[in-house]
Amino acid sequence: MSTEDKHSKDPFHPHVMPLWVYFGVYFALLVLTAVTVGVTKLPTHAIFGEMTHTVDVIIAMAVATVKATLVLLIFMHLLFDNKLYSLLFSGCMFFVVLFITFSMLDTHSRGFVDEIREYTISAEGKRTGMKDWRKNAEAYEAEHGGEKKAHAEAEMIVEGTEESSVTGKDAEKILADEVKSEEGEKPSDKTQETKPAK
Amino acid sequence: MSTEKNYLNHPKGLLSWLITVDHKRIAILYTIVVLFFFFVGGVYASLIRLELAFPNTMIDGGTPALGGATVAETEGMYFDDKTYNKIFTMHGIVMVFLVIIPATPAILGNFLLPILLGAKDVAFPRLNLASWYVYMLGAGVALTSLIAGGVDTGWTFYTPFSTLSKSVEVAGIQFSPVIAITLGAFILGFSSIFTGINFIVTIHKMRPPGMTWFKLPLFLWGMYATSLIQVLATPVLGVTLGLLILEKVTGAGIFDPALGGDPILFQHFFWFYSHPAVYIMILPAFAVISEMVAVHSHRNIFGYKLIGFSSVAIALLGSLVWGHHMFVSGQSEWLGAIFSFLTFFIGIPSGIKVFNWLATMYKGEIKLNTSMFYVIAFLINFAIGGLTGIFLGTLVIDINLHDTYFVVAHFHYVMMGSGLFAFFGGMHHWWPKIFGKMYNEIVGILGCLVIFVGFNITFLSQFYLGLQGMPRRYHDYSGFGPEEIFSRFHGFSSVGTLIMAIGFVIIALNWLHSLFAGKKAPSNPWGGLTLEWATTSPPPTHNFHKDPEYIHGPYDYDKILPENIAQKPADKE
Amino acid sequence: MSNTIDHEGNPYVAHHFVDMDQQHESAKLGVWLFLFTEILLFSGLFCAYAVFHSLYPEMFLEANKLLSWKMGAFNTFILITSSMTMALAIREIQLDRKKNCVWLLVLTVILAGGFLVVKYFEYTSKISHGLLPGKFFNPAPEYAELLKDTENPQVFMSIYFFSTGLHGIHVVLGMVWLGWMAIRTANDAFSSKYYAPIEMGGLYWHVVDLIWIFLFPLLYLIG
Repeated sequence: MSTEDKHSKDPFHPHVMPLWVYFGVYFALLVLTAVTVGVTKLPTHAIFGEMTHTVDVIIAMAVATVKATLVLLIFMHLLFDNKLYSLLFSGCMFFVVLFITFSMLDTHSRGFVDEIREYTISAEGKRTGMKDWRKNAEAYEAEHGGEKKAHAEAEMIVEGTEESSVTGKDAEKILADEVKSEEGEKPSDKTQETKPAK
Repeated sequence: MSTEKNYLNHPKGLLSWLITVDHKRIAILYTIVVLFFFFVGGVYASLIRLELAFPNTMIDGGTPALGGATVAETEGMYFDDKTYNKIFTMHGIVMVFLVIIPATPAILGNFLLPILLGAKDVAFPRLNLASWYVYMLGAGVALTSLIAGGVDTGWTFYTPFSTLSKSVEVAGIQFSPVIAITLGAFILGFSSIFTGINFIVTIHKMRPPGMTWFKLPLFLWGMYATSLIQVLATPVLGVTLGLLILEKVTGAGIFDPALGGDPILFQHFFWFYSHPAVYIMILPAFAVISEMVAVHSHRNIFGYKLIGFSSVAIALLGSLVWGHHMFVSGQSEWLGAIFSFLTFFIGIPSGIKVFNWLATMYKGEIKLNTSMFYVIAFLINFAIGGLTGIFLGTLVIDINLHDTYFVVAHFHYVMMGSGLFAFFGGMHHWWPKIFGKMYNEIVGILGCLVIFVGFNITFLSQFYLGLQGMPRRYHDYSGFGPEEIFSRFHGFSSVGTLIMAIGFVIIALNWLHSLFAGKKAPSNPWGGLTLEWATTSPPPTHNFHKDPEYIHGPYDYDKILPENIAQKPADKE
Repeated sequence: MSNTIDHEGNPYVAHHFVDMDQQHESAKLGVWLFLFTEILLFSGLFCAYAVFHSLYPEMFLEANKLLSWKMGAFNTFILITSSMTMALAIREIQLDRKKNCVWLLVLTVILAGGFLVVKYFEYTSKISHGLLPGKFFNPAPEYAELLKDTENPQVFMSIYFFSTGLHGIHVVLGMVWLGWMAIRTANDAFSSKYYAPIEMGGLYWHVVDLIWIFLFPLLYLIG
C-alpha cells in the first residue's frame, strides 16, 4: 500500500463526474475547432495585413493548447486525480519543449559567430533518386499557354510569391539550410537546387 | 545442497524459467544474455586492439608481427579499413545497447528493487518478462545485420554514413544491414522503456508503510532517476531511428541535404536520447556504489538527501547538454557555447556524490573485501573519467580534442571504468544473495585488481594518444603524425587489454567455482541493513517468508549494534 | 495467478498488490508513463515540423494547400466525438451500467473506423496526384505548377505522411484495444470495482485525440 494514498484502507471508490461536464467540454472543443478553422481560412488579411500568417499560427496554436488542456483536465481526469500525474505530465511537456526549442535555436543561429561558407558538390556527388518534378509544371504551362489558370485549390495562393532565382545549374549545394540562414530572414531567395544536372 | 525451496530451485524445468514472471528469475535470464553479449563485445574490442597493435601489417609486408610471421601467414588476421569500421561499430553497438544500458538496471535493478521495497514483485511482472523477450528480439534483429556483412556507420548511425550505406543481396532479397541494426536498436528501446515504467511505478506505489521517500535505500533513488530518463528519452531514439529507416526507404528529405534536409538535425535527434543514455549507463552505477560504500564501510551514508537529489539533478541536467557532442558538427557555435556552459553544471551533482562517498568511508569500519576494492576502483576511474569530461565539455578544448583518442579514453573511463566496474562490484556484493553461494574473496580481489590495472594501462595511454592527435576510428596510423609515439602507446593500450581479458577470466572462474563448489551463503554476509539482507540467500519465490517490517532506516549503522543485525537466516513460516 | 490472495474479497487483485486501490493506481501510473513515451515519440515529428517550417516558411504555406482542410476538419470532429463517447463509456462502467458502456465503446470504435475511412480517401487522393514523400514526390502537372516556385515541398509531404501515418497506426491499435474491451465488458469482465483496462484504453484514446488536436492545425490550416 502506498504512503501517498490516505484512503488505502478504504474500499476502491471511483470518481464520477456529472454528465453535463462531458457535454460542456465536447461543445467547447467543437467551438474551438471552428474558431481555428475560421481564423485561418476566412480572409482575415484585411485586419492583420502583413502579420496574417503569424497571427494565424499564434491563434491556432493557442486554441490547440486550450483544447488539449480541456481534454487532459476533464476527459483524462488530471484535474481530479493525484497531482503526481499532472507533475509528471508537466515534466514530459518540459522535455518536448526542450527538444524542439534547442533544435530550432541551432538551425536559427548558425552563422552567428563564424560565417558560413558555401560548398558545392559535383554532379556525381548527387545521391537523390528524386524525379525532376518541376518538369511537370512546364507541361502544365505548355498546355495552358502560360495563362494562369487557377486550379481548384490554387486560388488560395498568397499574392506576391517571389521568383526563385535558380543558381548553379550544374552544381549542387550541400547543407542548404546553412546557406539560407546565412541569407538571413528570406530563405527562399536562394534556392537550393534539387534538380538533377542537365 | 539444501532442500530448502527458493526461487532458483522451485519450480523446476526450463519452461518454468522461460515463462516466469518472477523478477529474480528475469534478472537471471538477463544476466545470462548480458554476460554473453559482454563477451561478444569484448571479442570485438580485442580485435580492435589487435589491429592497432600491429597496424601496418597489411601494408608493409616487412613488419614481423607475431614473431616473424610472413605476409602470407598474417593475411586474414588483420583487417582492412572497411572490416575495421565494422568491428568498432559492432563493438559500440553491442556494448552500449546490449550490455551497459541493460546491465545494472535489468539485472541488479530487477533483482533488488522489489526486495528493497519489501514487495513481492515489481508492479507489472508480465511486462517485465515481456521486456526480456523484447530485448532478445531486438538483439536478434540487430545481429541479422551481420549476415549482410555488418554495419560500418559507428554506433551513432550519423546520417550521411547510414543513409548512403548500400544494401546487400542475401539469398535473393535486398537486405540493408543499417536498417536491420537500427530496427534492432529501436526494439531494444522498448525493452528499456518497459523496465523504466515498471521501476517508476514500483517505487511510487509499492513502498511499504513507513518507508517514505527519504527512507528509501539510495539504490532506489538511482534507479528512479535512471528510469525517468529511460521513459522520457528512449522514445526520441525510437522516432529518430524510425525516421532514419524511412529516410533510407523513401528518401524523405528530413536528414538528407540533397533532398532539402538537415544532417545535423539527425545528430540533435540522436543525442537528445543518447546523451541522457550516458546517464542511463552511469546513474545505476551511482546507485550500486551508494549501497556498497555504506555496507562495507559500516557507516551511515554521508549526505543522504544530497546523493538522492543529485541523481535526479543529473537526470534533469543531463537532458540539457546533448549539444556538447556536436561542437564541431556544424551546429551553431553560439548554441555550442550555451551547451558548453550547461555541461559544467553536471560536474556539481557528480562531485557531490563522490565527496559524499568519500566522507562515508572516512572513519568507517572499512572491510577491504572484493566489493570495497570495486568501490575504490570505481572512485578512481570515475574521478578520471568525470574530470576529463569537464575538459571535453569546454568548447575550446573540445574543438582540439574532438574525435581523438582522448574522447575514446574519456567515455571508456565513464562507461566501463565506472559503469561496468560498479556493475561487477554490485554482482560481487549481491552474489551471495542472488545465488546463495560465497565466492573466494582473495580471487575476487585479485580479479578486481587485474582488471583495474589492465583498464588503466589501456585507457591512460589513450589519453596521451589523443593529446598527441591520434584520431579515433582509424585502422592504420603508419606514416602519419608522431608515428613512434602512436605505435608505442597503442602497444601499451593493447597490452592493457590483454591484462584486462585475463582479469575477466579470473572473475569468471571465481564465479563458476562459487556456483558449483561455493560455501553456502548466510542471509546477511556483510551485515547490511537494507531489506534484501533480511531474507534468506537465495530468497524464496515471494521474496520474504513473512512480510518484512520496516523498523530501521537503510543506513542506521550508528543506531544499531552490529550483533543485533540479523546474521541468522530469516524466520521460517 | 494461482497463488492469488484475496485481500478484500476483490478477486481482481493480483498477488503482489495489497489492495485494489494500489493495483488501480499502479496501472494508471504505468499507463501515464507509457503515454509520455507516446507523446515524446510524436515530439520528434513535431520537432521536424517546427524546424522545416522555419526553414521553408513559404513552401509550407503553399504545400499545406495540397491537403484538404475540410476532410481534416471533419476528422477532427469525428475524433473529438469519439473522445467524448470514450469518456462517457468510462463514466457508465463507473456507475455499473455495463450495457451502456459496451454501446459507447462500440460507438467509439465505429467513429475511429470513420476517421480511418476519411484518411483512406485523403491518402488515395494524394497518392493518385503523385504527392508522395521524399524521392517518390512527382506531383501531377497542376500541382507541380502550384509548387514550382517553392523549395523542397517533398519534405512537407514526408512530414505529412509520417506524422499522420504514425497517428493512423495508433488509431488502429486503439480500435483493437477498445474493441477487445467492448467484448470483455459484454462478457461481464468489468464492473465498477474493476475497470482499469477500460480506463487505460480511454487515456490512450484521449492521447490519440490530443496528438490530432495539434496535427490538424499544423498540417491542414497554418502550413
